[in-house]
Amino acid sequence: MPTSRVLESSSPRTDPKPLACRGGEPDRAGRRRLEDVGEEPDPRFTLANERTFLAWTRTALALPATGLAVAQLLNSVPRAARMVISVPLIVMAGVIGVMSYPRWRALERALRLSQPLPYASPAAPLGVGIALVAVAAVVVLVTQ
Amino acid sequence: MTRDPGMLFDVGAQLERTTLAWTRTALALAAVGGLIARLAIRTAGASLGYAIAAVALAPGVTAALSAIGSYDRRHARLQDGEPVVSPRPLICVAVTLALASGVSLGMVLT
Repeated sequence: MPTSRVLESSSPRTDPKPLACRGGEPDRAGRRRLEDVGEEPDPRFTLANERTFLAWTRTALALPATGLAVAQLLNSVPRAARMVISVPLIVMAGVIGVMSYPRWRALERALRLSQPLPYASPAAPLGVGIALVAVAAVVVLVTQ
Repeated sequence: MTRDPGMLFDVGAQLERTTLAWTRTALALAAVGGLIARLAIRTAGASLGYAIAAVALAPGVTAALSAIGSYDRRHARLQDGEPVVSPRPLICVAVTLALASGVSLGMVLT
């Protein structure tokens, strides 16, 4: 990674802190403010992290759109069968909505502390969930 | 260190890609908002339906409008070596997504 060019120019604002303060002081809620943790990372990594968050959001937004379309448009299919397809899709979007910001924050924190980024990604479970819904959709469409 | 403001900050055009990612997200928000608005007007009756529609379309419009000025503003920050991290819009987007999922679930179940 060509980080040196940017690291050279890191702002004078981020004065070197003593090691003991690296983690930052906890705020009232007992959580450390992001700005107080570690050092300002290469801004390109911050932007990449932001794009990953946005990609998750768009992926999640496609789920309720599909769920609503299934619930409204598949008129020839019984209501219960439509629910089997649309409800899991919308619930998955809700789960992503709740998880996405904490995950962005955890990644940003790891960047600031120059720690390895957490490898575990919700992408694999989401793929399994969508595959199951797709199979259910095929079963519903074939048997109706 | 201040760079030449006429020049791109990095060869990967990271900020441009990020701004386009915001634009795509705004479009996705508007699409889902439009879908919810359409269903609300159909099912909830005119006045309540239009009120829900206005709320549903607001996030997409807000995100699109914010993206317009953000490219120049953030590029200036990059050039000045200032941090570009901005959690607040991300929180708004995440909350909107959770709300949209809740409203969609309500519409599907009723």
